[in-house]
Amino acid sequence: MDLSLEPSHTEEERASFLSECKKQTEKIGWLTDALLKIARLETGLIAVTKISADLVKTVRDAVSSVTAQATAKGLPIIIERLPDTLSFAHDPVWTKEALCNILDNAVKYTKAGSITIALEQGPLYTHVDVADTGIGLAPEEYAKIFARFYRVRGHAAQRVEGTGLGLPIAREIMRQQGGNITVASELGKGSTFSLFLQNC
Amino acid sequence: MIVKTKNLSKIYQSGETEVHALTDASISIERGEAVAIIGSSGSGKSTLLHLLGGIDRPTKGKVFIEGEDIYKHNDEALALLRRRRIGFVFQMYNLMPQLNVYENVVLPLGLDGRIVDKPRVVALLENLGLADKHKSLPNQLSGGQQQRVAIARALVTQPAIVLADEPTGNLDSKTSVEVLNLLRASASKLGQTIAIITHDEKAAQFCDRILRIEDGHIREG
Repeated sequence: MDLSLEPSHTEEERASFLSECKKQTEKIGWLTDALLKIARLETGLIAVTKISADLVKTVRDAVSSVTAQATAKGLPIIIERLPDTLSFAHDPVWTKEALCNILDNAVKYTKAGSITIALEQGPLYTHVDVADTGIGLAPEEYAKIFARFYRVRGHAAQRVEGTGLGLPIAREIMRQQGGNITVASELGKGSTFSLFLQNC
Repeated sequence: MIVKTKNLSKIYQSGETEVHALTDASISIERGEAVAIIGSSGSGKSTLLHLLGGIDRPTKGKVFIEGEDIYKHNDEALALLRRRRIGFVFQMYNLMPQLNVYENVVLPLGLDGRIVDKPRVVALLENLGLADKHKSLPNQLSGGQQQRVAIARALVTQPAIVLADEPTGNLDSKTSVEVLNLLRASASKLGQTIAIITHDEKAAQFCDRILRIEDGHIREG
């Protein structure tokens, strides 16, 4: 900011400084927002409330929010198994947020291939799976990625911007509904994140 | 602090050689935490489980459960402490075949002469997806259902800690996820401290914290 105020700089340089300032400010804003969100979720200031709503709509809404981003990278989003509608006890707003965080990561960490969405109903849990063909994870990272601020090691992951808060927020949202998020992955081949919701 | 160990070591004598199964393990587990203890076969994880659970005595070092040095007790007092303060979930479920689900779950309360809070037991079984299975015998249940009964039995006494030893070692991957989801959710709901001892990274992700054990040495992460 100071640099852009110095008279010795050209208009072009100032514009570039300001543009960088804007980018950084947006990043700080996003980080603050994410930190507040997780703090409020954990302390119960934000209530995650299950209501009977269409889970398929929640999934489709989340997918819509990353479609532009995926299209820009040439990544098709394939909806593999999804009924037309499914009335299911969940918090549609927060579940969408959790799904968006997972989908956002899938797009960010996938260079080529596709992202596949599927919904499966088991006897006790119903889960939405988000599978990507991205950089994947080593088994010892499975648990660590859900810890706050953790960033996956390795060149490919470090090149992608992130705060390390998206996954902890997503897991907290699912846990507050009696569900969970798990990951299965293979380095270099891709990851599948499963978002579990209790059937009753 | 619910569990604390101080320089815990176990040396087994195998003929002329000494096997250092566990060396100077100092760990602590907070109330309400879910901790995974990961190690491959022969790493020392079963030794640690036995020492945490009051099953085997250490060669050196101490185990404190809720601040109490458990190995200061004689075997009889230790057995009582085990029954009251520690819940176990084993790979092979270890249910009593002649007792139904409800009877298996309340068995540890009965052994201890404690009053059975029936609505609490019913709620626990419901949380574990066993609401309609109260009267079923273990051989009428699937492996996943039997393990859920074993989890209910471990939780019913509200122990200081539940030690789950390879709880999904005998289950397929889909059932494993279901059982671990329920174990985790039930423990969270009750504020119950749990330690899952496993070789499986997939099982470890259900916990808040990971301890790794290799050649008898333990480390965070």
